[in-house]
Amino acid sequence: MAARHNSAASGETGEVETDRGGWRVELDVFSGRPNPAWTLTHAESEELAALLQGLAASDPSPAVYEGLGYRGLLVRPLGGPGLRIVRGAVREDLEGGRTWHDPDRHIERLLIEKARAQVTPDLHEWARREAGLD
Amino acid sequence: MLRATVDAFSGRPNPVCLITGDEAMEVVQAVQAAPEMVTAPDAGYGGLGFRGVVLEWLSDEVTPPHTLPSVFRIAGGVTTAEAEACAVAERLVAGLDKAPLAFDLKEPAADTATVALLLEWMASRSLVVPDLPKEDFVGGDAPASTVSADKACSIELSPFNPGFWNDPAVRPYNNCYNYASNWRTDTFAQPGKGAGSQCQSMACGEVTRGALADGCHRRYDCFPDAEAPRYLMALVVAPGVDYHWYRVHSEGFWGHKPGSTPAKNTDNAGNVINSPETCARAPYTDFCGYLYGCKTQQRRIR
Repeated sequence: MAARHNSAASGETGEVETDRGGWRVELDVFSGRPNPAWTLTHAESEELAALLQGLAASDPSPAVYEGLGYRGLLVRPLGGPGLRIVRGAVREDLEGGRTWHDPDRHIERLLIEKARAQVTPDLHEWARREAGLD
Repeated sequence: MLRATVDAFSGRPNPVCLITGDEAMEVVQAVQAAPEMVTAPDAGYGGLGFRGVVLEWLSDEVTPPHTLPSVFRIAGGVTTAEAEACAVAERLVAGLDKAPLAFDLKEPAADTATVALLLEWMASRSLVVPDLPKEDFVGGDAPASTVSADKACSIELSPFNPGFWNDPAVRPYNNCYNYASNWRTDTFAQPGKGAGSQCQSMACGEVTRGALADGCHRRYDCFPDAEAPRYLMALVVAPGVDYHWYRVHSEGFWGHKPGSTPAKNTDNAGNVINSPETCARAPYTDFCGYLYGCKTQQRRIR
């Protein structure tokens, strides 16, 4: 996967276009309440961009699950298209978006671990269970 | 004298027949034997094909005390007595091409081929009958003597219209409470917030308290007609985590909108939701009950 973290102009390269600001992450799990969301630090965003750059493209993932419960993590690079990271796949959060393989759900695990600092312990454990990461 | 309009066509005029004397009395008795089949004239399935039969009183020849409204619909697919309603409707349809059912019309209300077509449409209709509590009366004026004021409530049903909610300008900013209330706020509305009393914990009692503060009523606590639309909503909770709402539609199923995802009428297993009590809805394991929304509540939610 090609991801770029420091430019606002990369339309023809197919790279994920971002801004220098922190990336926004949303744990897509609620129906009524607003989803827990937070902004990564610049260093964390750089780390995530590097991980994303190392991903291999994969076949389009099956239809995104849009029911009740855990639906993955939404990563929104500032100025770039959103990415949904769920159950071993990273896909652009738009119709016809590209998909990459997240081996061993490494990025998903990393982000859910980072969610520990953002939500209550009970909710964090619940999210881990819902995600099947226990 | 009763006038029966078989509501089925889109381009052609619907067949109409007049029913008098013993025929009218038999219809009245059949309907009164299962009064749950009576709905408001504009309630029920609104799509193509057979949509029910609208019955209207044209005179007072049937001896009171009958308890039926002056205009009502049966077999619209949205009551708990659809089997009985369809039996009455089928009899009316079957008689459209015969005297004396349409005795005073110059021509039969419908020819034999049309009657056969209508019966086929009725037989093949696959409406899902909603799991409405019998005490909820769908739309319009309730026949006062068939329901008591503290046990029956008039409600409205709207067609399933996911396109409105799934517009990119709407979908991300409106949640299940918006959907169940049928009111777009673009704020991810929270029960009680508009009343300054937002629910604080994710438990049935607390979320219900917030919704009541917004102006919802518990089931059987009726709203007056002035508060229409009075939608029937269902609340479920993932204990300690989150809540979720459903709203029943005129097609007979329930719709919902999980968070910022698209509105839909299917559950976690992909099945059409016939009952929010029994549908696949993990991890929202606690079924809290039914509430009515209303006009005031719609405008208050934030």
